[in-house]
Amino acid sequence: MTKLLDKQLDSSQPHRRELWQQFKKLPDPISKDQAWRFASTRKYRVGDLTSTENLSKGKLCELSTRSTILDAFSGQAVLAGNQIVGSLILDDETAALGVTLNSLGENPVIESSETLGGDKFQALNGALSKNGIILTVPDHVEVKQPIVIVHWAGSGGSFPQLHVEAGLHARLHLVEIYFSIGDEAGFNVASTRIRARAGSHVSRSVIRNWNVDTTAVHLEHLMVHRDAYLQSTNLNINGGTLRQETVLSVQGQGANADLSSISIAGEGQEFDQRTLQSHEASDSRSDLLFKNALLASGRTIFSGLIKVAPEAQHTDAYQTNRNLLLDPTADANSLPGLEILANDVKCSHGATTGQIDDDQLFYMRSRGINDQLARQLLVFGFFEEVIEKIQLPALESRIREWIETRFQ
Amino acid sequence: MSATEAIDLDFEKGNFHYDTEYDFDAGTGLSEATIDYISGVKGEESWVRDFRMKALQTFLDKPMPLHWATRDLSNIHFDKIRYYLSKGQTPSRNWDEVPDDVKQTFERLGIPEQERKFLAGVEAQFDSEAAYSRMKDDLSKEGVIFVGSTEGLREHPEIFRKWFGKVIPTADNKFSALNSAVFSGGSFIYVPPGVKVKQPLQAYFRINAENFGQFERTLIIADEGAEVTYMEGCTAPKFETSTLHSAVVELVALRGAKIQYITVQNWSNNVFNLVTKRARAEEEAEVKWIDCNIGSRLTMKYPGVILKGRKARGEVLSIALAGDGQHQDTGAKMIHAADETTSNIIAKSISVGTGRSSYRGIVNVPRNLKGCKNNTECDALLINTNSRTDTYPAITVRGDGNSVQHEASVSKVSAEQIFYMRQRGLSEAQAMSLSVNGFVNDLVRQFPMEYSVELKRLIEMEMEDSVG
Amino acid sequence: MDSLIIDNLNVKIDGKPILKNFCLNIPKGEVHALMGPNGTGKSTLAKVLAGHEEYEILGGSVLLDGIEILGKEPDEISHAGLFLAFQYPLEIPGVSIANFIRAAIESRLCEGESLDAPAYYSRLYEKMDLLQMDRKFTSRSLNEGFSGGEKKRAEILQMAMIEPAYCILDETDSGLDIDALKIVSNGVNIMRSNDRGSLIITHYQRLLDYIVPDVVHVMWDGQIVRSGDKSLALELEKKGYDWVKEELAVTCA
Repeated sequence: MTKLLDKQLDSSQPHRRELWQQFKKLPDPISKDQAWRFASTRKYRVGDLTSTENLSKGKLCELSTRSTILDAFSGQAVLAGNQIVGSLILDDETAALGVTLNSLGENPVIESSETLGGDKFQALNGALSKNGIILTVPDHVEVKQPIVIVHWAGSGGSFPQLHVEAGLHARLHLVEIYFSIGDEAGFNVASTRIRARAGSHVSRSVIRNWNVDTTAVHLEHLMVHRDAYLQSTNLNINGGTLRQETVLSVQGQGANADLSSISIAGEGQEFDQRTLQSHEASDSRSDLLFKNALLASGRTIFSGLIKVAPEAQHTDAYQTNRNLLLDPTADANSLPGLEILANDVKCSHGATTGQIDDDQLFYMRSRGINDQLARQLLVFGFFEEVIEKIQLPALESRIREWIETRFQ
Repeated sequence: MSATEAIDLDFEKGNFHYDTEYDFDAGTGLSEATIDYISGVKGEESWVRDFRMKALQTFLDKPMPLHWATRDLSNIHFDKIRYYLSKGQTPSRNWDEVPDDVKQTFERLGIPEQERKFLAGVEAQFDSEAAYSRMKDDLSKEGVIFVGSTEGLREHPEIFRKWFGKVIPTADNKFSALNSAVFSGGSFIYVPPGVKVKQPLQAYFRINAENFGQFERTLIIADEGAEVTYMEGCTAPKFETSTLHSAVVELVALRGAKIQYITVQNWSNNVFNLVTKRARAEEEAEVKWIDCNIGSRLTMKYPGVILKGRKARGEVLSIALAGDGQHQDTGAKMIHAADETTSNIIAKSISVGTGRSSYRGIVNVPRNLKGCKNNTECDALLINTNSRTDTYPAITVRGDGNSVQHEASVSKVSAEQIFYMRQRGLSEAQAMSLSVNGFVNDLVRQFPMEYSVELKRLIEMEMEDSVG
Repeated sequence: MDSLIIDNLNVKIDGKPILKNFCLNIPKGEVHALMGPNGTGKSTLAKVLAGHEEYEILGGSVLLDGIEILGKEPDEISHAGLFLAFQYPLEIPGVSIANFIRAAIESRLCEGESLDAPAYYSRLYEKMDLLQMDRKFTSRSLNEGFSGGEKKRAEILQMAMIEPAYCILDETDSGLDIDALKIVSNGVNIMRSNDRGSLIITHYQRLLDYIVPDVVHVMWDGQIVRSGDKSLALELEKKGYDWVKEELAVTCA
C-alpha cells in the first residue's frame, strides 16, 4: 500500500530508515483502541500516497503573495508541501537580538515523544519530513512582533516540522497557519514541538483552514518549564478529517498554561482533538477550554485527560469542553478524563453539549433581529471567549472573517 | 430527630465463617462438565443448558478487557475457583427449617430481625443457592412473585424466558458471559400491572466458602404502572485467597413502572466484585439505581439504563469508598433510545490511603432523538497523599434539542479544616469522618433512612482505620 | 489556679521567631483585649494556644487552670476548656451547624454517656434566640457560602453552646458591618461571667466600644509592650500604630 511513498524515502539516512520501518510495522489505528475511540479511523489510512511534488516558480510566487496575513511581523517562513517558498525572513532588529529562524533541510530533528495514539504518524513524519523549521529565541530576548509560519498543502503528503525553543525569560508570539493550495486532496502530517524555558512567555496561535478534502494529523508537544507561561490557541476553521494531539507537559514548579480551541465541523467533516495536561511539578496550573460548533452532520471528538503526578501537589488544573449543536444530524463526542495521584489539588472538568438557547434567541428577535442573524450572533459570541485569548487584534479580525465564511 | 435503627453490615460483623458441609459441589475449575453438573442438580430444561454451554464458549473466546481495565483482573485464576456449592436447591420458607450453621450466619448478620421490622420479603443466599426465601402473604395474593432464579426458571418459565438475557446479552462482556454459563441463585421478581409494593424486598448474598465464585442472576420485571424497591446486601469472610463475585442483574420497567434498586456492597477485601447491571425503561417508566460500594478488592460495576420509551427516566446515585489497597472502578451508563428521555448521574467517591476510585461513564444520545437531557456530576475526595482518583466519561450527543451536562471535580479535606474541627473538640478521626459524611451528605439524603444511617457508620469506621 | 497563664512563650515559624518571651495572665471573670499592628504575632498566639502544629515551640508554658496545654493535641486543648473563634472560619460542606455543634458536644461526653437530643435542641434554640438567629440558620452547611457576618455569628453560637472556660476571639470584628458587630458583641457580652476568661484579639478599637475590656494589651514584635485599662485602646486609636513602633518599641528595647 505504501510502496509509492517508499520510493521517496532517503534511505541514505539510517534514522529515517528506522522510522520508516517503524511506520510500516505499527498497525493502522482502529476505533476499538481507546486512543481512537469514536474516530473514523479508516480515513487515516495512508494508502497510495505520494509526497507533494515540487511546485513551479510561478506557483511559488503566487503563494508567496497569498501568504501575507499580518502586516507586522518579526519573522516569517512560508512552505508549500515539503518545500520552502522564497526565503526565511527575520527583520534586522530581531536577528540582531540573536533570534534564529532556519530550515533543517534534509535533516529533520528525529526525536520521538509521547503521543496520544498517533505514534504511527509521528514515525511517518520523522521518516519523510523535509525543510523543517527551527526557531530559537535566546535568553531574555523579547520578540516584538509575531513570527509567522505559513504552510500550504497541495495534493499528496506533506510532513512539516516546527521546533521552537524560547530561552529563559524570553517572550514570543508564534503564529502557525495551515492552508490548502487549491482543491486537491492533501494528507498533512505535522509535528510541532515547543519548549518554553524557565520564566519565558510564549503565546501561540494555530489556524487550520484547509479545503474539505484534506486529511491531517498534527502532533503537538508543548513543554513548560519553571514559572513559564504558555498560551496556545487552536482554530480549526476548515478541513476534512483532522486529528490534533496536544501533549502539554507542565515540567516546572509554578508553570502555567492556557490551552484553548475552536472547531467548526460541517457536513462530512470530522475534527478529533486529543489532549493531555500532564502536571509533573508542584504549584503549577493549566486551564483548557475547547469549544466546538457543529453544523450539518459534522462530527467532533474531544478527548482530554488531566494527569497529576504524585509529586505535583498544589496543582490547579481545569478542562472544559463545550459543544454547540446547530443541526440535529451533528455528532459531538466528549471523553473528558482525570487521573489524579496527588491529593492537594484543585482539578475539575466539565463538558456540556446543547443547542442555541431558545430564550436568548427570542430575546434577540424581540429586538427585531431576524432568526438567522440572531443565531449567527450567538454562535460568534460562543467563539469570542477563545478568540480574545489571542491578543493580536489584526489576527483576531482575520480569524473572525474566516469564521464568518463558514456560516454563509 | 429519632434515631433510626441501622442495618448491621459492618466489616467485622461479616468477618466470620462456619465450616460447612456441602451436599452439592461442582468441584474446582470450569469446563463443560461443571455446567452439566450445575444444570443437572437444578433439573433444568435443555434450553437453559444450551444457553449455558453457548455462554461458556463466549466466555472462553472473549479476552480480558485489559486494554482499558486494571491489570489486577489478570490475577483472577478461573481454574482455582469453585463454581457451585450448595446444600440443596429448594429454599426454606421458614427460618426454623434452615440448616443450623446457615441460619446462625444470617442471624448474626441480622437478616431475620430486619425482615420482621420493615421488609416485605427476604431472600437469603448462602454461596450458590438461596437458603431462605419468603414474601408476605398479601403480596402473593396480589400476584407478586419473589423467588430465587432457580425456582423462577422452574415455576414461571413463561415470564422468565421472555426477558432473560434480553437486557444484558451473554456476550455483553467477559463476566456477563461467565455468569450466563454458571449462574445460580439471585432473585426473580414479577410485579403485576398497577401493584405498588410499599415495603422493600431484600436479598442478602453471603459468600461462606473459600476459593469460591458466586454468580447470582437477578431479573426484576415491573409490569405497567407497578412499583417496587429492591435492596441487596452482601458480605464475605476475609480469606487469604481471592474470591469472585460476578452477578448479572436485569431490570425491566414496563410503561409507567418504577423500580428502585439499592445496593450496599460491603465485601471483604479479597473479593473481586465484577457485576453487570442494566435496566430497560419503557414509556414514562423510572429506574433508579442506588449503588454504594464500600468493600471488595476490586469492584467493576457500571449500572445502566436503556431509556427505551418516551419520557422514560433513569438515575444512578453512586457512592464509592476505596480504602487502603482497594480499587472501586464504578460508574454509570445512560443509553437514550427515545424522545424526551432524561437521565441523571451523581457519583461521589472517596479515596483513602492507597485506595483508588475510578469513574467510568457512558452517556449516549443518538441521532433522530428530540428533547433528551442528561446531567452528570462526579466528585472525588482524596484523603491521603497517596490516594488516587480517575474519571473517564464518554459522552456522545446528536439529535435535536438534546442537552447534556457533565461536571467533575476533585477536592481534599484540608489540614486547616481538620484543625478547625479539632479545636471544637473532635478527634482527628471524627473530624475526618464528619468531613467525608458532609461530602456525601446531599446524596445520602436521597437514600432510604435505614441505608443512610448504615452508610454513615461504615464511613466512620473506615475513617477510624485511616487515621489509625 | 483559675486563670490562663502564658509564660515566656517563644515560637518560630519557618525558622523565624514570632513570639518572643511572651507573657500574659487572664484570670477568670476578666476580658482582656490584645491590640497591635498586623504581623506582630497576634494570630500566631491564638493558633499556638489552640495547638496548631504548624508552629515550632521553642519554650515556655501555657497553664489552663493549672494544667499545661502547650504541645497538646487541638481536641485535648478544646476539651480542657479553651475555645478559639477563628479569624477565617473554615467551610465544612455538607455538615449542618446543628450536627457540627452536636458532634462537638458529644465529643465531651464520657464513654457510655449519650446525648439527650431533645434537651440539646431546646438549648440550641434558646442560645439562638439569645443571639437573634433565625432557626433555619442551623440547618445550613457550616460556613459554606456564609457572609462574613454569618460566619462570625456561627462562631459565637458554637462558643455559647460549648461554654468554654476561656475564649480567644481572633479578629472577630474583621469584615463586619455595624449591625453584625453589635450582634456579635452582644453575644460575647452575654457570655461574660465570673467563670470565664476572654481574650479579644483585634486590630481596631471599634470592637471595644461594644465589648468593654478589663485590661488592654498592646503587642509589638512578638511581645506585649504596654498594658493598661480601656483608655489605652483610645490612646492607641488616637496616636496610631506608628506611636507603638516609635515609642513603645523603643522603651521596650
